[in-house]
Amino acid sequence: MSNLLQEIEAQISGAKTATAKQNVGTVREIGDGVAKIEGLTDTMLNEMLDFGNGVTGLALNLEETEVGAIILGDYTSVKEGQEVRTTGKLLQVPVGKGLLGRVVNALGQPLDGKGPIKAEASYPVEKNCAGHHQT
Amino acid sequence: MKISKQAQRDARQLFRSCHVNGLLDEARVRQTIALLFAKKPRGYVEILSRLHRLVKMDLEQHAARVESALPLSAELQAEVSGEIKKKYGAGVSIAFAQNPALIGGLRIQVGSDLYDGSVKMRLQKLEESF
Repeated sequence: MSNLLQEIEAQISGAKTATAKQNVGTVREIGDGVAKIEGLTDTMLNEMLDFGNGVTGLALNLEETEVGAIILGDYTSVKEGQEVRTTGKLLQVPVGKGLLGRVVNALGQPLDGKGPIKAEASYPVEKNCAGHHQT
Repeated sequence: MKISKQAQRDARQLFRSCHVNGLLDEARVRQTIALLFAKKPRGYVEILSRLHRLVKMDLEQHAARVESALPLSAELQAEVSGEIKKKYGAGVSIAFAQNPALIGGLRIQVGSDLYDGSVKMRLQKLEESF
């Protein structure tokens, strides 16, 4: 038992909280499901943005002074001045056998009330199609 | 205000000419604005408006805000300032603020880069993981 305590103590003393760099912006304008965001200097085209409260956006317009994004979800909860974070992931949806026959929204979330999708992987929505030799 | 493409181009060109060694020069910006008001070229209000936005964004990119739940000691402030200036250059202006909502830890924002090591953020992540 004393060994176990020592191990836990050693792990606690060796634990370091790494702080990852995030890219953030502020909602400058919002209307009809489209948000104009200031900041977000490292955003990628088609990147998913986290608006908080489970609302996700999609960065589509990368302009000199702002980023234009469409909100995939309830845009009425998004307010001006709200903080937005990049996710580092392009728009991707869960794929696999579990997706067959299911009804999903643009984010791959189920709309048919049959519970969560048991996905094996996530694939980007925008992807190069396979060449002739691969089909 | 709707800003024409020509005004956007002109403002960008003026903004670039206000840089010295990669940093925005305040004297040049003031000189440029004075010249624009004196000469009043076509669409100068649009150009000024766009220039204002570009300058504002540049200043925001070179401004750091360090938030902590409790006031930081002078040594810790100096250490944090040193680390920020080492990473982002000496031209960064640093402001320290107190935010009890963080519970603990530091939240450092430099331009749009955020380093959030606060307890509040960690609790939020824990909540999301359930």
